[in-house]
Amino acid sequence: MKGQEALILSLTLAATALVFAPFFWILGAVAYNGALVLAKAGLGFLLKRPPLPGTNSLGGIGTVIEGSLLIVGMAMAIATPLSLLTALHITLHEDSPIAKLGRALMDIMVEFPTIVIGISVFLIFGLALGLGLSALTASIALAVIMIPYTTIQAVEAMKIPKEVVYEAAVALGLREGHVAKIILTEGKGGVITGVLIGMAKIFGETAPLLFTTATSFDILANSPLSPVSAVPVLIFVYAFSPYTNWQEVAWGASLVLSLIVLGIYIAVRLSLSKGGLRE
Amino acid sequence: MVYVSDSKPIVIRVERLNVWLGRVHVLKDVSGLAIPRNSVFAIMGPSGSGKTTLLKTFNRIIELNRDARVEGKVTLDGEDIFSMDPVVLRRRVGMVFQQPNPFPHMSIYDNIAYALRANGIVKDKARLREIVRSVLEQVHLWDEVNSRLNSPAGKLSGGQQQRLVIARALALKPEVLLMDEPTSMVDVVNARKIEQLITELRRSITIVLVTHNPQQAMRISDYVAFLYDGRLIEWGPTKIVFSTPSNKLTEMYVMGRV
Ligand SMILES: Nc1ncnc2c1ncn2[C@@H]1O[C@H](COP(=O)(O)OP(=O)(O)OP(=O)(O)O)[C@@H](O)[C@H]1O
Ligand SMILES: [Mg+2]
Repeated sequence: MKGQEALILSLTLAATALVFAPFFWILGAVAYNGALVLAKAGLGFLLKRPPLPGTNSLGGIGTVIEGSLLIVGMAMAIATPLSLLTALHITLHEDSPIAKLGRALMDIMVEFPTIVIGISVFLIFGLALGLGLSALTASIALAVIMIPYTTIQAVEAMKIPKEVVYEAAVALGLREGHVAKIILTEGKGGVITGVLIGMAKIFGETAPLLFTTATSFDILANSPLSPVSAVPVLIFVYAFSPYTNWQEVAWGASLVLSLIVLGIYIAVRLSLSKGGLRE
Repeated sequence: MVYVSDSKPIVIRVERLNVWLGRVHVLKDVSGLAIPRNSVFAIMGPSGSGKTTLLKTFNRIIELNRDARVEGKVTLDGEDIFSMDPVVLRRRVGMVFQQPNPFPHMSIYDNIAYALRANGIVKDKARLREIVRSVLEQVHLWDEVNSRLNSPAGKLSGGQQQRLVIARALALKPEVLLMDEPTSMVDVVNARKIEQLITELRRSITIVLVTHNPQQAMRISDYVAFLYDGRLIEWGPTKIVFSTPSNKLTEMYVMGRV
């Protein structure tokens, strides 16, 4: 018995350590190489335009950060209200056919290959509806990816309020809109988490942007319909380029992107810890 | 088994009421029940006898259960509740649940003020504050919470939460207050306070009190109905039902044998 327990313990420990290894290795590689580049390029890296290939200049990733912020912001503006309204419908009418279908659809969409979403959005919005390779097309693709994450998370967040205070709110003679508002406020911590998780997800999302953004990175999008470029796509293209300075920029951009996503997850933890009985 | 009521006007009347929850026939032909105004009307019966279901029929929140099917007639002041707007009905017939259920993240103040504002009943801020204070005084909670009206209601003790939700219901000035075993989840001291409060409230409001505790019914109710397996076995003035029950089952129940 004793020996068996020890064996299981060491096996589980070893597996866990093995899982840790690539994680720390990736983190280490990105932090090390990225930090070297950032140290060389300075803070201007966040603002400057990308360098010409094959030169000694590092320039910066200002234009793609602007592009990423623009499309992620627009995607959130589209996805957040849609997700929250859908989540409310699923929560308040959980037995209705539409709610059941909605829930099932979200569960499928969350697992859907994002590259397929990218190409479909490009075909429908980019080509058929004529939006082209624009910030809007890209943000629609990201919104489609974000919606199931945020919706599912928001549904989970509203489960307990639904159980605890839904009847009470209805019994007060409140109309559906006010009941919904109470459920939403009571689940606020988890709902905000859902939005942040969706945001983190689409910030690093690459595949759909390959179809919907430009691959020249020295552009500043100034309207929803102008072409846009994004950080992950720059990393993808520059990393595979033969130019040393572009490869370096890719490392720097990787670190910046990782820090952004990490920052969002820290915000998630904070919003979760506030989801208790405070605020 | 039908008690012929005295001169008090009747608020709620029930005739041939049948309720099914899914396949379960929960309330079976409940008839002849008449709840007099400004009284404490207790509904007692063993677990599963349908007390909660009957109460939830009175404000139609039974309909939140999609599997619920209701047949028969229930009137409020002579008006058929099933042809009323349920939202309007629920403003006239308030409810307090077994489990204290304030809005936990909302402040103590907003727990009471929210529905008043949302239902468009009170818009004036000073007037709102007055009402919040007066209902909190009514439930004897004001002294305990007046210094922290802005802190979340979820931080109150269970007994305080239960008094808060009573205050929340009272703020809407309902004609009838449905109370589903309001003391079963709180400590003895708070249970006593709530019983005391119920007897005070009777002067201005009709209270329908579900209890599985015959002693409680005896202590604080004016009338009592006995439900058993979804049927109304008998009802009448509490004194009469307890001293000379007309049904063998009732007698066994009040003696603690069922
Ligand atoms: N959602 C439901 N679907 C099917 N049957 C139900 C449902 N809810 C309750 N019932 C059944 O209806 C009957 C009456 O339930 P109800 O909750 O009204 O009883 P109660 O007298 O309030 O009991 P308690 O004293 O335990 O609270 C029970 O037999 C219960 O099993
Ligand atoms: Mg019950």
